Amino acid sequence: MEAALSTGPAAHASPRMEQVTYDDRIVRWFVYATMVWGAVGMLVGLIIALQIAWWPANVHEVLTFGRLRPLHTNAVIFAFAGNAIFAAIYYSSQRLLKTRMFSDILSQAHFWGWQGIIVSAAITLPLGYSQSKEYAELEWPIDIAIAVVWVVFAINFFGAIARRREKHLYVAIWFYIATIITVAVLHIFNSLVIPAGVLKSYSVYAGVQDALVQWWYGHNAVAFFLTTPFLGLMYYFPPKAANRPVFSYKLSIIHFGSLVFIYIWAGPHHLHYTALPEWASTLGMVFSVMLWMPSWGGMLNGLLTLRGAWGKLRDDAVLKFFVVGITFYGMSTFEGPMLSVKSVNALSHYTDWTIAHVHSGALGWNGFMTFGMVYWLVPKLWKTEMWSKKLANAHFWLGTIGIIVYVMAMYSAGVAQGLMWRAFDETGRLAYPDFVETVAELIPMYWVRVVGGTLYLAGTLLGVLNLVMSVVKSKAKLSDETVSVTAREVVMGGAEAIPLPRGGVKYDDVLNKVHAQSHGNIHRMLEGWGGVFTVLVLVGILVGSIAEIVPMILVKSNIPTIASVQPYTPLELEGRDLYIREGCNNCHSQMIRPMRHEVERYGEYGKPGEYVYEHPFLWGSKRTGPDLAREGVGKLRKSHTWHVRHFENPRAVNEKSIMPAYGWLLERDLDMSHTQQKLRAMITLGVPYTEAQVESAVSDAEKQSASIAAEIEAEGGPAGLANKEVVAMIAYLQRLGVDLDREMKLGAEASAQSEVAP
Amino acid sequence: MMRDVMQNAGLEIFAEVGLLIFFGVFLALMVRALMMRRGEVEEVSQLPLQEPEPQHGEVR
Ligand code: HEC
Repeated sequence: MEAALSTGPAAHASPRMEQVTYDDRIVRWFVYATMVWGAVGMLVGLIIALQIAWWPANVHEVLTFGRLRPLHTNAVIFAFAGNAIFAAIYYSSQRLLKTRMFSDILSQAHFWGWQGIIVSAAITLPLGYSQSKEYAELEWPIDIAIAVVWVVFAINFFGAIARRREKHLYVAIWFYIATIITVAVLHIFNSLVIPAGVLKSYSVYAGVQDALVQWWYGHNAVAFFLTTPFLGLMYYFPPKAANRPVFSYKLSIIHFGSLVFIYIWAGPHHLHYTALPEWASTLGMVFSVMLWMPSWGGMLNGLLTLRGAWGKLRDDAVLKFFVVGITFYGMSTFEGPMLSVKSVNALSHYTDWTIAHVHSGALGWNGFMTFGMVYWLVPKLWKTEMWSKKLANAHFWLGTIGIIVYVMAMYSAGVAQGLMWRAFDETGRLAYPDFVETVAELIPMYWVRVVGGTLYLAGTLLGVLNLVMSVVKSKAKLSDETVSVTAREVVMGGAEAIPLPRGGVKYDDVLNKVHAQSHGNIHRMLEGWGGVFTVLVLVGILVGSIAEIVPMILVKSNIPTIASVQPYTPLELEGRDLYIREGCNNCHSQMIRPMRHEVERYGEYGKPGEYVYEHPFLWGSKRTGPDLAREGVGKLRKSHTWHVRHFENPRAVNEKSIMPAYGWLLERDLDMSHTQQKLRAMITLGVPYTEAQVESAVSDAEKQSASIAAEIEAEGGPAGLANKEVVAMIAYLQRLGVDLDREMKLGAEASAQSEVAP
Repeated sequence: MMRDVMQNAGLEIFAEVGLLIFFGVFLALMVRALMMRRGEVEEVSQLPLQEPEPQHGEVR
């Protein structure tokens, strides 16, 4: 009895049964979407990998690296992994909760809404509509659509929980709950903007604050979009595939608790090493180590679950994908904490090491768990054998070799890069003073990456082929599964339905009895421990989030101001928006770290007060090109004409450059139809433009543009550039670092005078 | 740089209170997990494997 109907009452009175029909069609749709978008996202990845190895692959304005990289990251995270998560959640939740999803209409709205968002991303990102914040590039109307679809999903999911016919919430469901709640909080707070046009907006946060919020989002997006839902998947599908329960259920709960709570808490290193008081900071370090332990506990739990099926490993592609996927989970969760150690980070930050790290996670963990799930689901969902087991195994091997080649190439590139940047020769000068020399050294590794990516993509394409052929060959009439389960009121039931068992009273039973007796609505909602814990988890996550968000929002008033830092001129602001449109921040950083080699190479390190008008911040996270924070001052400052030539053809001024050419900037007129609106949006955000400045914005921009164009002509550059986009861009670049430089010169003079004075 | 900004902001109280609440919930969860009875553990961990067999396909 106990075994057959895990949730049924003790053995008297035959329980009333109910029919449940699962919605499998929606799962099939999500599986198709996963594979199709996976192939597309990886193809874009391959293209941008090629562009780094071989610049001529930047064939067209909308296909340049700066515009395609956000498309790649968004496609792989939100389209590939996203659809995979939804397939996993819709399949497993219905079965674990013994109910159909809450509403078919919501399921379909979720599916089509999400695909619509992906399509709109695929259109707007290459066209240059971007907020520039990594993995949050989509412009505000799409952000709103994401929020709406996410709410639809949440109602559908929590509605199913409310209607479940299973008292216990299996650990996978807990992971899903944490995912849905946290992603909502992350998305909303990181996407707060003031619109300055239909597809243009400025982050409400500036500089330091914007960076804090962005990386709180970025870090936790990895945790709650790419980790927790996949752990839910790991606790459901591998046990099914191996046909044995999870190795240790208790461990899985500890894994859940430590991961969810510690991640949201100690995860964002920004806060971790900053806002926390000293004692908590020490505790935070303990947390980091603690985080590594449950992660590995989880990995071992997953691997040991599969242990009993080791025998089948040789020819079962599903198990192989899971074993390697879980192993990569272990590798990434070891590497992650390691990279957050300051001394390691000093070397790895801005380099391709980070790229290696994310790909061992994305290709190894997310990719392989997804493929394992898909290969397991196809026979169930389409009532057929997998078309070709050989092909599935070929996919596995291509993928595995692909990851290893990719990751090895990027490790060596990243470490070499980091070492070259910081290398000094015997005379105390930078060993590689010319940045492009460090780039040239890495080109062979970039080619190796192309090979690795090609192998992985080839594997994925075999997977797509296998899926399509399986579906085509399937003779079965596709139908939803109908099962017979114990009726809801019996399972969740009233006091009469569940007598307390003799010997060993369970919490759940007691609680159920209490709830059944109290008739309040809230108590109904909280049926059983499942409900109580859902609420507790919610509280835990929300407290963690709020405790992080509030300081980040309040910190603004504590940034020391620098008197000489002034807002951009209208022309410079337009130039900055071009920089965002072209995605230059995908190759260039604008944040110099206080390290000898960086100051030597680029100039004075970044000060918080410099960035108070930077909506959004443009610090970047990767240096494929040099830092530009001091491009307008000191030894880095170049003539306007140099920049014109450089944009027209970077190779003309720097033979080994891999930067794309931006010829269209020289040809296209600057669109100033929104300039005033942009200044007004900035005023709303607290940037001190006056109404008079708004009024004269366009004419001021034209004046500045004309004067720069005249200088270019005088320098012997091309004539007639006034009001072209390139001039706005140059105005912006020449402004970079100027304000702080002025302040420092004033400071130097002042101290010189005070020394002279008696 | 970030460290200075955040430390001078005097916002530790959020961290402290949040940390305490977090710790409470976390402990509750751990205690609950560790005190689960054997039978219950077994029952729950069997959930994915004991899904009732589909009866008949309903053609859509
Ligand atoms: C594919 C990566 C990539 C992209 C995208 C890119 N750059 Fe570059 N950039 C480089 C590299 C590499 C160099 C160093 C070689 C050179 O000078 O061309 C460089 C150099 C520069 C320099 C000269 C810096 C110096 O001090 O020597 C400027 C200015 C510059 N880029 C601006 C831009 C702007 C503006 C954009 C966007 C329109 C952009 N870059 C897009 C890779 C890139």
